[in-house]
Amino acid sequence: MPRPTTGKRLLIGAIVAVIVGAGALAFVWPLGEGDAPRRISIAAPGVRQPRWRITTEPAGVIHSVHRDDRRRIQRQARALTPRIRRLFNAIFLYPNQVARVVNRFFSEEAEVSLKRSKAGLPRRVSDIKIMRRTARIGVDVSGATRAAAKVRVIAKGLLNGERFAVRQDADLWLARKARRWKVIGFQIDQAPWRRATQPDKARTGRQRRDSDPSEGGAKERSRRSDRSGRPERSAKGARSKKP
Amino acid sequence: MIKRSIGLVALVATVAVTVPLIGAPDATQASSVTAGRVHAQFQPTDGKIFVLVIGNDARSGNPNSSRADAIHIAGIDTKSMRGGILNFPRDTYVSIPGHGSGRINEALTYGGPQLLARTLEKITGIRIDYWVMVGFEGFQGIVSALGGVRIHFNEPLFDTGSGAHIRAGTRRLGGKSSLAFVRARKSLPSGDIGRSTNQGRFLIGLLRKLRGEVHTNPASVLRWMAVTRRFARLDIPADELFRLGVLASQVSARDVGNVTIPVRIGFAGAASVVFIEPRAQDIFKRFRKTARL
Repeated sequence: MPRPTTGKRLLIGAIVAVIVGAGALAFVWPLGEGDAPRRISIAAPGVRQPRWRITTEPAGVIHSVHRDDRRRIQRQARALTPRIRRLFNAIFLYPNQVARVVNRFFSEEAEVSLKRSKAGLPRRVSDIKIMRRTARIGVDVSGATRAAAKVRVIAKGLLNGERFAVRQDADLWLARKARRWKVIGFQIDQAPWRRATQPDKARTGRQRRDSDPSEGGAKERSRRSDRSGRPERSAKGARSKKP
Repeated sequence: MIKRSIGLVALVATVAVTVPLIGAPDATQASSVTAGRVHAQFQPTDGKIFVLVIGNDARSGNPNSSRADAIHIAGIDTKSMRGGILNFPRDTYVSIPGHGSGRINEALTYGGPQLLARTLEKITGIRIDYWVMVGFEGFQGIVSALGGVRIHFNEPLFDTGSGAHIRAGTRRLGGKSSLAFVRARKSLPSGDIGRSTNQGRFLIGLLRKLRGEVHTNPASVLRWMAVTRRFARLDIPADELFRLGVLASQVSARDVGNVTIPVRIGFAGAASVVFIEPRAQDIFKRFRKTARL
């Protein structure tokens, strides 16, 4: 085989240098939006997360809502919706993004509330699968510069090899200044989540009472009577809150 | 062209005359709700916010009356989300800046809510951030529009003076019965002092209602704001009002103390008054430092 000419050698060398340089650059300078750090996902691999179910409505209504007000509210709801999605996607799926999202979206006071609430999941969780994520956003009918949102996320995953499921209900209050929405108030109610069992409609009440305990029922009873003192399988910081 | 100019001048003149009349306070507005800042700048003291709540006896038959029958300082510590309501009987004998000594409710007559706030600041050492003043119609209107307030009564309350006729148990009070409840004093053993305490209980009932509604739907704060603004003339920016509402909705009624200042009955000349007991100073100090009771 004839040896490549000098020109061809230079061309091959240049191509190799570009490839190596690009690889090194991608390694040192993470790709993403502007200067954003790369998102590190803790989602279960290959699992499709459910769609967000978000409703928006006018709030603070004491008379009828005019058409112009509705349009204004819809416009602001379109601005708010991706921000709320981004926040809770960060909390549950991309924890390394939380600080950045909070810094841009929260006021100082709300950020303190968020940190105090210990919202989110413990550090060593993995394989997160979101069961349900819904949000109800109310935008103030007078001026559309204030809003409130109730967000519920139910997720399950693994913590130190053990399965857990958590329900989080978050209340956010938002104010808009200079076209930017900021969270000014935040509170959360987070607790372990168990799917409610469906009643057996085919059997009468008496049959249900007198029937032999199912394997699931026996497991439930043994769990209730467990006095070993093992901590309940829950996410860190989970607690219930009453009004 | 001339006809058009005359028409334009007439239109401008009509608007110039009519608009001020529309905005002029009438008999009912004198008894509505007004609010404002006590100081030019809002500066919460280490996360504590204090609001002076005044109930005056202005009503449509007597719109110019400005005697304060209800005087309360509501405090909230935004770090712990706890608070307190400190109640002052209306006959409390105090020094009123620039007006010598007299009953505390006279400060409202002499200098309005600002003078009353400064009088209380001098007595307690607390820096009051906002004042809210409510007349009869405004009070009834807001309570009715919000759907009433639930209060528990260990004993029935029948008061001929205020018209209160409430049986024992947990009752939902509408606008009219709420007003009768907070005005009742003749049937109470401790008279005006008991009335002050009941007014504090009503404020806590209102807070409990707000928190209950917000628990279901956080946008309820916006509805409460809309109702308040319907009956009120506010010198507080809407953003600050919203922030106050959000803070209040995060405070549990169980974490709010209700204390009436300790007083003793006496006379100032021929007038029957109450004097502040020395042990009230400890209450003022605690409230000033923690905003909790």
